[in-house]
Amino acid sequence: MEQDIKSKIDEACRTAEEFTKLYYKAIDKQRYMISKLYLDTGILIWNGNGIVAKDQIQKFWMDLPASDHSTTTLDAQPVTGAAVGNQPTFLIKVSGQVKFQDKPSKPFNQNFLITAVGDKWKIVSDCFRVQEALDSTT
Amino acid sequence: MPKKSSKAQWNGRDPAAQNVQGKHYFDHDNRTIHPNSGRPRVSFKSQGRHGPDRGRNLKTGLTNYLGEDISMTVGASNGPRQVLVRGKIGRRASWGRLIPFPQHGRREGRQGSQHRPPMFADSNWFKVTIPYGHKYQKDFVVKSLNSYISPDMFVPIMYKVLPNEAVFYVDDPNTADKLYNCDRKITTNDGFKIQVRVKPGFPQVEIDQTLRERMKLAMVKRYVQETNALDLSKFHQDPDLVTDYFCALFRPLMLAAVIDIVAEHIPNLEALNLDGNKLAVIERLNILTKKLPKLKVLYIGENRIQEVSHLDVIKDLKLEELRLAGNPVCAKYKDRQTAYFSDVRKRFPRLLKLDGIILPPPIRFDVADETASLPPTQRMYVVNTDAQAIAGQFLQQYFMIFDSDNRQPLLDAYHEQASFSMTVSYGSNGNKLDSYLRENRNLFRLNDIERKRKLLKQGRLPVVSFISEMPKTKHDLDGFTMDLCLATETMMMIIVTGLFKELDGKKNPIRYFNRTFLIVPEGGGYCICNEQLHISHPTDEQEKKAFTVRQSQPSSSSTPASTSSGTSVVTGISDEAKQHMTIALSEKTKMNLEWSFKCLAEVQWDFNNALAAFQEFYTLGQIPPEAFLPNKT
Repeated sequence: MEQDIKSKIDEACRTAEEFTKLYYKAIDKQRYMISKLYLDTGILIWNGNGIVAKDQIQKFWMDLPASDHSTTTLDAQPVTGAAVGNQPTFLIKVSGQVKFQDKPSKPFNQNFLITAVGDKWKIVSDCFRVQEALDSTT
Repeated sequence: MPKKSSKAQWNGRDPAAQNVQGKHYFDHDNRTIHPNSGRPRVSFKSQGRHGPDRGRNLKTGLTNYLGEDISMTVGASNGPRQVLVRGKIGRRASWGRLIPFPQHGRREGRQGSQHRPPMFADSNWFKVTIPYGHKYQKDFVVKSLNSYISPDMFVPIMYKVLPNEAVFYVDDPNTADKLYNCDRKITTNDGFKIQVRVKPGFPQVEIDQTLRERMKLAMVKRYVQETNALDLSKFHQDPDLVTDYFCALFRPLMLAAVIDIVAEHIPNLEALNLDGNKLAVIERLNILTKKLPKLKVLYIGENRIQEVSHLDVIKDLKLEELRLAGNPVCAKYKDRQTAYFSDVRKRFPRLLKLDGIILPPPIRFDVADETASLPPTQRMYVVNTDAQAIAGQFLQQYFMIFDSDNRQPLLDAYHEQASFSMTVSYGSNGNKLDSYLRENRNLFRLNDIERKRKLLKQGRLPVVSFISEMPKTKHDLDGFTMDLCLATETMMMIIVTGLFKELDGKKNPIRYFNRTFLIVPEGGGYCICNEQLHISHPTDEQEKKAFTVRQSQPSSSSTPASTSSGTSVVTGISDEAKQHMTIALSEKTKMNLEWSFKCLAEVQWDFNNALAAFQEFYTLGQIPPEAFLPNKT
């Protein structure tokens, strides 16, 4: 394995661990500052509901009932190639349990694409799915 | 004395045998011997033969009283008394009559002070035996008893006629007491007195499909559609069930079975009445939150709930009305207004009515928006509708090959420098997803940096060879969710979730997966540069619905017009049909499956058009040679 890719993998792992700690703390306890984590043009897809741009995402999170996430698994990969060029970009996948207000907790999966803007990591795409049975009509 | 082991001797069809016996334990059974006497005769049991038994029984009975098994009347010289004997003395003792205790003095005693059997107060269910009850119609027995204990009333549960007797159950200590005192008080037309034996006990009922069906029918007439309310009060006394079944909701399994039926047929039920079901342990009601989330009115009055804290199991219900009156817990509050209300309301903050009394509206702090709710889940989100078709087709092809016997053709789907990794969450339900665990790249658990690197598959060949070794699968394509998060000219990010079935082995377990594909354009198509797969167990609900959602079927009561969503283009034809068509086309044209699939997809799955298109391009020599490579690359 090339040294370059090795160090990218290591950095992806490290960043992902730090990112998830920060992200879920913000979502569960400090939502007012959540938009800082997103790219200006970032996107949040929450159970199939798409919200585009940082300000809209901030509003969405503020309106959402209080949450309590606990994470179980984490995986991260560096994204390379022409599409991202030299900009460090990682793909992150999280699974765990989430509880909204008094509702029973449910398993969830969340996928992030994060990229470095200057000296800050920003979320390009945040895709959340609760594990649930869906009807044919939804 | 002769043995009375044979039941035939007792069913009255064998007068000869009874004549020979000559001795009887009960005054009632001599009717065939002295048909003209018209008067019962007291007889004693033989002495001596059961002597040792007697001593033992008496001893065990007195010292080991547990109040649950067997009772029998002992006519000792000092008057009647109930003695309870544990079950270990054997089956025959349970019928009471074979235990050779003398019964003299019994009548006198009974007519004197009436002793209430000591166990009646503690029990809820009683078995009533009418010796020789088989000789009378059920109606007659029940009417006679009811008129004797009038104004009290009882409903016999599971009235059964046995060879020697009639047996039924009652659900109330008071009734049991009254019936106990009916013994030998009612004289029938033929001059005999009806004997009544009462002891604690209830029958075990197996919850099978037949019973479920019967309960369902009984529930139908207890449901009121206008108010969306189901009345299951005193369910065990339901006239449609009471003769054959003991549907006692105080038994947790029965309660769970009943709630299951309700949830299956009326998942949006708003009001449920469980009054008078002797519920003591209500832990099973915790499933109400999940199974009947719309429940607003709950009646659990006249039960045996002891502590207000027992209500915690249902505190997540958004109850507006609760009936709790008639439970022991209520008696614990001297002040029925404040302490009681506030303890209940602590659990149900939205409660407006308790035991029929309208509560003052609660005053709350204006902090959390109670009405805030989660946005409803959507099955699909696409950031760019133009890209949707590409993503849809890509996934169709990918999973068709993934679900086939040979995943090698997926080589074409991966970029030269593709990355792949997998995580697994294994729930608490036993199955540990062993087959995947070794490859679980859970960064929370891995400490070794080398291992983190190694579990990230790098490069087309390692990725596809890894994927090829995964268990054979069938994905529930119509149940997928798809999120197209990113669609630029240089990259697309697609996330699919859904269920698949493992085809290896016999069990064919269903798994839940969440899969991220980063795809980039290459050549004329797209290939995967990054992929992350997460596998876990499906929820019970998901497992139930697996492979049942058919988006193309109009059966979901929605109008057919609703199929005009974007997915219909891709899923208008079932995947099975597509697979068949692909194979058929491949056989006709000798193109490999991948190309056959592409060809069919191009012409919107019209088989004849696909064949025509193939012939046209074939004659023009425009089909590349790789289309004819064998499926195994």
